[in-house]
Amino acid sequence: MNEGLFSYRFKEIALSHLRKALNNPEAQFKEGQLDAILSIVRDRKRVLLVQKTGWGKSMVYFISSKILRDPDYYRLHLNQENKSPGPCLMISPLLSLMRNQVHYGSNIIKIDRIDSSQSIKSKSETESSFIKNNLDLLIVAPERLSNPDFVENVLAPIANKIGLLIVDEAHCISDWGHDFRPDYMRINSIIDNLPPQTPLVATTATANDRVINDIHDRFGDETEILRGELGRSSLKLMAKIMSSETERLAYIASIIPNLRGSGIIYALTIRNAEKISLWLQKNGINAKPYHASMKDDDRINVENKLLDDELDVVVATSALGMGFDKPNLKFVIHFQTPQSAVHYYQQVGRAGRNIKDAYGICLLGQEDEEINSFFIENAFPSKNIFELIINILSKSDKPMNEHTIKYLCNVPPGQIEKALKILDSLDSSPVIQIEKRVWQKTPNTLNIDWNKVEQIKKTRIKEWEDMKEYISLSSCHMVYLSNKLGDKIIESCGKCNNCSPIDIQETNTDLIQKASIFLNKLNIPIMPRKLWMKPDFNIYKHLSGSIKDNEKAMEGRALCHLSDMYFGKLVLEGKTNSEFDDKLIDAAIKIINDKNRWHDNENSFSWVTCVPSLNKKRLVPDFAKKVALRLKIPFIEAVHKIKETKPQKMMNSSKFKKENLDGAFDVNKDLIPNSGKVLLIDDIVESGWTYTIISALLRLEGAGDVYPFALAYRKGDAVIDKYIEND
Amino acid sequence: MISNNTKAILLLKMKSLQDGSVDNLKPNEIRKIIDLLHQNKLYPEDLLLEDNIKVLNLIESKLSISASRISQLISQSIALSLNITKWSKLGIWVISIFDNAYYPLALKMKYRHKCPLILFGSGNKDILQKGGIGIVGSRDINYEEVDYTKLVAKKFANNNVVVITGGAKGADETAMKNALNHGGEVICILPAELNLKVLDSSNRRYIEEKKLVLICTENPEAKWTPGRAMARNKYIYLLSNGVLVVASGLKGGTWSGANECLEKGWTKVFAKPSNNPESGVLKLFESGALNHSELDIEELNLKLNYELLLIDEIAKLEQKSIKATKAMLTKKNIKYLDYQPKSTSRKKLDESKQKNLF
Repeated sequence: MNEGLFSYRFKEIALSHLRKALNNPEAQFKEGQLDAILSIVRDRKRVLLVQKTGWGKSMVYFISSKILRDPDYYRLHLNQENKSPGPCLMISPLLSLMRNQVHYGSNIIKIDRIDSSQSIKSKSETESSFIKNNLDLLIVAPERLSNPDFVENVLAPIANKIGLLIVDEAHCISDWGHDFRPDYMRINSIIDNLPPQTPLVATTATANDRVINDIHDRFGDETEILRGELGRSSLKLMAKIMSSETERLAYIASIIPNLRGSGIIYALTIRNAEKISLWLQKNGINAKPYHASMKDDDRINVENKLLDDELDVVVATSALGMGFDKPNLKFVIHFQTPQSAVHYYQQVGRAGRNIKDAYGICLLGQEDEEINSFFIENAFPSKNIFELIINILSKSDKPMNEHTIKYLCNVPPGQIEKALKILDSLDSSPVIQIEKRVWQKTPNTLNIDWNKVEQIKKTRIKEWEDMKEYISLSSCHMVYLSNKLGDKIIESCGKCNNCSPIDIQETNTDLIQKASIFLNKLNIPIMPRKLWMKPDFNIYKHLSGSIKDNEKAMEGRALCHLSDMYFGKLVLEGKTNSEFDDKLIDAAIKIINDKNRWHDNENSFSWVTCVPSLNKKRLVPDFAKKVALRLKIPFIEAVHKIKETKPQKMMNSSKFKKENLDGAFDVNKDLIPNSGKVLLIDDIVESGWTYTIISALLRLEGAGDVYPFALAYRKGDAVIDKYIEND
Repeated sequence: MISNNTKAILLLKMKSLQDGSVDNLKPNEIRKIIDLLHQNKLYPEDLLLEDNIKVLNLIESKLSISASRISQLISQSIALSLNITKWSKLGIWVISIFDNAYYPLALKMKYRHKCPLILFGSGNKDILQKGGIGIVGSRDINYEEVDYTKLVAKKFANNNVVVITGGAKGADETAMKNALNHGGEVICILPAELNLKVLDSSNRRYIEEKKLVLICTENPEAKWTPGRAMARNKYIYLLSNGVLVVASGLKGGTWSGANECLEKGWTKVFAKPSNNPESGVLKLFESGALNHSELDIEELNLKLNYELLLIDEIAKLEQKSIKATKAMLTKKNIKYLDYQPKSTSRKKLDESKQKNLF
């Protein structure tokens, strides 16, 4: 196009907007920003922007929105008088991102957002000013698109007038993406029906070729792809295999004080994040965890403290993800290796945005293989789970709430939630959410392309293999990473640990020993249950309603998570060898004697008993006996198993677990001492129902307070517990 | 998938969601547009093209429907797609008179330009072209009539005759339930509330088994009204190869529906005699209804060859022999079902007395 033909002076006007937005009269566009604005606004193209985070995509949206909302633009550029363009709409997945964007954009445009943290009143105010065309740009989370009220009353009336549709973090649209979100499926039907003249811009920092092709397919052949360079010249990348957790803890505690700046440590699971944060605190480092189980307010608080340099380290799961922007972040350390180069690039890319030197250190631990395999395996619920849900709803004449569905399915509830979310996003779904968390069968049949699901899984496995290759690479890390993300650079970065020696000082102290003691001390509370489950037991009929004081167990302890790399392993080996290692006894005694941290009163235990088993008859009693011997108190086998049960771990939902236990145990009243605290030992605790029932039986037959103790705690899978990040 | 012609019609009849809204088009306005487009070898989907200004101007100049009104309605495609998604989630599809493969030919041929432009439905669309026998009757039929209804529904089901009903309580429901229970196929024409009926587990299961198809001329969210229930009745007759009245009073839906059919000659009406002095059946016999004993399943259920019927009709319109008609259609590569008679011949046909084709 011949720019001379137009009286609308694009470049000058765009630049003046930029300067006003940044509040800096000297500001200049970064490479590619103006081109992107021209493609979107002047050429009205559909544009996919692939640029690293921090490049300034948001400036492109804001300035494009600003010009597209300017009647002068239509008058001078398109010869259209009195044109009143509709507002721009941006779909963006993360809260933290939205907060930053609103802040920057509001210098030049009227911008607002709708998210779950707002009050209903402020939501409806925002919605009504959007409908009335009083906003330049509205930012919503993709979940909003599945809200019928929003769709019918806000989106539908104005949808065809939208001046610009912005799809942020567009890789979420692609089911090839590492971060596929069912809610994003809804964007597709909007895109398919956008008037051809409506400009569309999608942006991402993390998409490999396959994802880009997928997005290209959805937006149409004429989509223009504007790619920037992904390499970050300030980053010194380093990767290391460091199997032992103890060694890794010691390592991070020893290098962080020497990195001279604040940073993020990424862990794969919530429990790890909590643990690492605690460890760093013990080493005088100001650290805080950040993960999906924390309240929004707490998360925002941690984000702000890091932004304001009030924290040295945030130990985060992938919940601290897209869009968190701290220009002077000094380091990103991966305590465990993430699933793919895309994950890694996205997270490590938070460091060194606006400073000369920054570190990106990736450690590969022995547990990473298992955890990542679990993530890959469980990313998409299995066909059985979908069929189970459909079957249950199909048999029901009435709508059913999510609670009941979970209760009736013998699978982990998280998988049910995930499957329902996917089902809800399908255009022709066999089940429908008729109100919040209430579901009903429709006449549609299940229509999921399982070959594709399988293919995606294979791709993910390959991506994880690549990530392991990245760790043990002998060539340039930045080149490898950029290439995996579709940036074809070949020139070595000259900064990573394969290009030149890295200048990280390790403080050499006795940190390894300290880390080892720290890990051994971690033990896990077993909280007593407060209610018997509905419906009542058939055999233990008297155990019903709330768990009364004379039935209740005391708070218990588990020595370790079964996933623990040291003790967890010993427990599993013990089960295989039918004998527990003496190291477990030593560790158990430490906890049992730790009155301050557990059973905090003066009295010691009076006697020991254990949970009986019919298949491994002597394993637990032998262990309990040894413990009793060390404590110099009697071991009394007062509980008997009178019914064969399946291992509790095979029972996936609480309902099945409970039925499995109904009438399984009996207590020999004559053996029970009249008073004194009881230590009740088992090898692995899971739902806690076994303890709850036996404690009640013991108490009702006259025993004193019952304190459960388990060697290991298992939740769900052997490795993955409830603390694990779900997405 | 919803065809573009269907989408265009839906957009024209969709209420405007914008403030200071434009009026949506009335069905007869849409029909006029379709006729006009047809004369110009155009289709409603041409309105959806980016470059539709000529089409809009044509409509404005010939029919005085303003181009801006239509383009505003057409511009609500996202709102429509959100609706379509909502329907498709419930298992509801939409077809229009342009979807020849599914839109019941019987309805088009018997009802001509009055036939509904849009049908919403759920279930196996293939049943729609099969024809069948309608079973109608009052809501409050007596035990004997219930037993009779059960018996005939079973008989039809066993003979692979599709049962066509209106989905009301009483006779309709009994007929439908029993035909389905015996493995038969059913077309159920609902007056309203399609969005609720698809979720009703007694319907849903047979929809899943591809034995039941629900259809409705109203929007899926439309509420039940007596007017809609009355309007629905004629479609039972229009779709059927013959209708059996199991019971009728001297007023009400069954009575007026049967009389309308007898008057218009849409299809044969059979009725079961009754001893009840308040029964309207005797009067129906006087008006031309046949005794149910004359209902010959085999005769009514002759596998209807719509294609042949259509060629026959085209031949008459073109005043050619059947052989010559076939040759002409083959040469022009026109599928029988897609054939649109020229407007003059169509007019001629409309003027000529409606012939009972079935």
